[in-house]
Amino acid sequence: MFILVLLTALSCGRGMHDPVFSGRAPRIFPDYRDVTIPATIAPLNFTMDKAERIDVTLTGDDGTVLHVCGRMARFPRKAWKKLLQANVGGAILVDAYGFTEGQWMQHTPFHFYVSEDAIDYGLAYRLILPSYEGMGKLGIYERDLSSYRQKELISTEEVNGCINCHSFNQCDPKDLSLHVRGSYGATLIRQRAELKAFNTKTDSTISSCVYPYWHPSGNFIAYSTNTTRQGFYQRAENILEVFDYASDIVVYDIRKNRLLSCPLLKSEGAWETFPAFSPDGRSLYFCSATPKAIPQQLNEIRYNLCRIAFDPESGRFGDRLDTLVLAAPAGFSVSFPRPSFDGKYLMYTVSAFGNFTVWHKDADLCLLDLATGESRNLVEANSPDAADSYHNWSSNNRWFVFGSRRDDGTHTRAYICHIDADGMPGKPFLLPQKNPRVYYDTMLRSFNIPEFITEPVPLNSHKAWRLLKRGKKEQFNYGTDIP
Amino acid sequence: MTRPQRITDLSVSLLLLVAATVFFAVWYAFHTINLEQLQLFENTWAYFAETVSVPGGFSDYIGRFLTQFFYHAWSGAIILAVLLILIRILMRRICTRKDAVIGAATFLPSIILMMVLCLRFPTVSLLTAFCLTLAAALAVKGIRSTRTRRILTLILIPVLYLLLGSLVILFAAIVAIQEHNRRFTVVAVLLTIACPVVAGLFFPYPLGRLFYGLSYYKVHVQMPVWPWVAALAAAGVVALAESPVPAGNDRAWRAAYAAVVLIAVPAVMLCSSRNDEQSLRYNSLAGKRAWNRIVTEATRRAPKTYGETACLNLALCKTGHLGGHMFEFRQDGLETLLPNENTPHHDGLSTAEIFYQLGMVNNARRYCFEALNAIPDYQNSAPVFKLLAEISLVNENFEMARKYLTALNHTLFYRQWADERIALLKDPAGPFVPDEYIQKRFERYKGEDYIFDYNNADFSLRQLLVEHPGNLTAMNYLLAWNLLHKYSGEFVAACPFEAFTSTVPKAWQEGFLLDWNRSGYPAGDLPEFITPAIATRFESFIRDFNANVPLATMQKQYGDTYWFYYFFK
Repeated sequence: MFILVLLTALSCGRGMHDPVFSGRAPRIFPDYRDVTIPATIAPLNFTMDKAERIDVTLTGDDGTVLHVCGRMARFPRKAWKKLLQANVGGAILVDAYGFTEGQWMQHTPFHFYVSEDAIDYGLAYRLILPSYEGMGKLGIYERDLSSYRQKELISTEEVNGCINCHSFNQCDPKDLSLHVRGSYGATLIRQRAELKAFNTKTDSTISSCVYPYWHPSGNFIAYSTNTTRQGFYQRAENILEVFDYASDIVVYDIRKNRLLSCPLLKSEGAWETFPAFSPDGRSLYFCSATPKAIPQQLNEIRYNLCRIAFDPESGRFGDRLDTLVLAAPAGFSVSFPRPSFDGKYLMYTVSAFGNFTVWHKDADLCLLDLATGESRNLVEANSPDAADSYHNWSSNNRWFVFGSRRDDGTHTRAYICHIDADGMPGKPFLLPQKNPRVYYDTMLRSFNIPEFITEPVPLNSHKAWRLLKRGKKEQFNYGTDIP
Repeated sequence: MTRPQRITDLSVSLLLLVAATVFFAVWYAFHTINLEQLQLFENTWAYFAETVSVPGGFSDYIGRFLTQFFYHAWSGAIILAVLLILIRILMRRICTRKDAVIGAATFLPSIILMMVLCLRFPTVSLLTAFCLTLAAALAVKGIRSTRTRRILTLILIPVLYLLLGSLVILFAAIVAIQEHNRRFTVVAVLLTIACPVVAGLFFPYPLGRLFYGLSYYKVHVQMPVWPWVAALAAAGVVALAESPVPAGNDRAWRAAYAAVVLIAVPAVMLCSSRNDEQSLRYNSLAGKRAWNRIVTEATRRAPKTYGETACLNLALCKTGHLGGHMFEFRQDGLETLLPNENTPHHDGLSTAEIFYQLGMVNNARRYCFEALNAIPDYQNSAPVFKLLAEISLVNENFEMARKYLTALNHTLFYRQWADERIALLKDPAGPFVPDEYIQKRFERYKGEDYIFDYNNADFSLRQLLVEHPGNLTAMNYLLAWNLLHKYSGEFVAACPFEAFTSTVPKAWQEGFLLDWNRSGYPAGDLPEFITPAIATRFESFIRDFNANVPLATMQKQYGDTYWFYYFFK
């Protein structure tokens, strides 16, 4: 202990003295001021704008104190963990001083609120360049949320093809669907045990199966099949647009190796996409739009949020569609519906038009209360002028992760946000890194489709690649339409 | 070795040194420069840690460190030549027998490695790994105690695998050959094979790549055999030097040295590609905005590919000669003016440069990312980052500009450039912002947003001109686009003939004359801006065309005209 104190004293040798009160909150990166965090999260290290040195004291409700100083606030992992554990359900006061231009400045303190709600083991996400035609280096990675450890699960270093559309069953990575495009392309599916490669394109579907969503039983996966293109805007504010020329929804019955659909899910008069099963497995949510001429009417394509009944026993769909959010007449578009696993809420993204909201600066997260049918914009989590999209729930429904471009407008970063039982979100926080300034300045790839995982993903990339290279893929069969 | 043998050996070594330097600095200069352009070496701990964290990462880091000096072709060429000579010297010292035939044979690995360097995507890391492997083998050879030597070898095998990569096989082979002990050889071989296999459990790379070497060639889906032929040759020469074969007579060693020289020259020339070199030259010069050098280059060696012609057209435009000289060079449709993602032999960075110069900064950014995506070993690229930083500055996305500039600030050769621009970030609207960026901000499209359609690029060019009529690059491209598209009516409508204070450029006059003729207007009523010589030549062209003069003759007489392009391309 003496050595520790001595080391701290030495490291803070030119210690904070004669501070001047700035009268404002410190400008820190990442903006962790007054965020709600889980007790097991890795230390929220941060830097302070323009400060040559900073001096930070954390004081828990229980009186535990943690003091650090240096160029950045870098909290020792053990002390941090102890502090958080001792203050579960309480708050930690953060008193931060910055040394700027020869003067120590004291700023208004802020808090870390330590939630009683546990968070899952980690995140899985794709890291990708803000890519266009080529793919460059991209891969699926997992991140342990209690540390900074990131592990590459599968990447283009190994697999010669674009890797996308990873999906797990309600955060359980033992059920996995992963699509690989290119000459060795296939969809890798593992239901509990064996990983298999499938050719998901059939004569009756318009493309390979994408945008997967697992049925809670693990026996079905909902996909959409899309004819997708991208175009590039001319103004500097917007970059590109991804749009469909056609899309349908299918459900893959794993046990019988057949694709199920119905006329309501592959209507000529509508584009259906982004399917998601309800947590009881008896409904399928999806987005649906009236087709328009592209690119002339691109900004008139608006998706409604719909629901259709699904009987997992027979594989039959209901005979009518419910429209939960009638967005088109109101002048906005819905995408990426994600129901909470307790069946209370459904989170979705709204934007002015289209469905690929990750490129829409106006994209915001909304929460639909499934009991009342009322939606509200999650202003607490959304950023005013950057895309907030691609959200996913934690297994206990008390956290959600989403992608946001609020950092630099170009790269999507993973933000985690607490949400209470009444659907009230806290302030989201950026995925912590050991040296966040250096990490996020040099990480010029986007965090794509972040998803919670309850345990490390059991994926052997060597096996996956061998499976793809072997070339023997099982063929999806298209079943007869079941009304 | 006798004195003549020593002199010959030294002469061939010097020849290799000089020849390699001249080859990589003059004959293959843009391949050398290109190696630097496909990386962004940052003097940071994070970059070091990331690079060395994979098998072979240490030699890769040294290789990348040296590659940053390839910013100048001569320094790159000297580094490559010195590394090749160093490999040869190490080989010489490792070999037990020192006679002249073995001396000549020790050049073989260097020659084969020089052939590897002539391929499209070699790495300096291969050479550094080779050097360090041989150095390790030499160091082990110097240990007198057999027991220590063998134990150290077995310890070094996994360590060197982690530091230098799969070339540890060469290290193990050399030591095993010189140990003459079957049991030790078996153990060393098994341990060497085990290294990549065990690495496969910890590093997310396919076993094939872990055996081949992660950084010995940039393209991992296409791994040439030559690096391993060089390693095999090195092991073979060491084995030869251990064998009791007689040293050979006077003729034998002379023949051996002669053979080295005679084999090396054609082998290296066969592996090299002048076409690739020319493409890289155009792309590199376009990236450096060396417009006059591109035009000079074109007069010496005419562009052959879409990408090269596109660079030339941009250079002609920026030097004010597009309308005057574009048809003096082979034009092959719209893609020789504006390449797109499907254009063969186009380069992302030079395509981005074209769009940047036009003021279409979003398209420029798109092709910058395409250029990054095209780097086979997924490194960043300093020239691409430079352009992305400029695009961000023009777009007033200062946060992104800061990120790119910070990365460049960690480099040796781009630091000053980055520093100057980082200073701008403190006052991005202030008086020190270069005119170029202010101009580009004016030229950007700010009207109602729409999706760019390559087939209707003339619409986008017109929109740029509506935004900023003084955008001469856009004006020239619009006119050239219409000509190449054979839209002579649109060309005439767009061209401000009356606005020219000097002679209207030749191609513009030719386009006007063609449209005039096709519209049925009388030749006698030609406007004043048509010069008599061009009008006379057009009459002659029409006459010959109507007389069905053979194509070859037409090309010879009118190959530099728009009319020839219009009717025969």
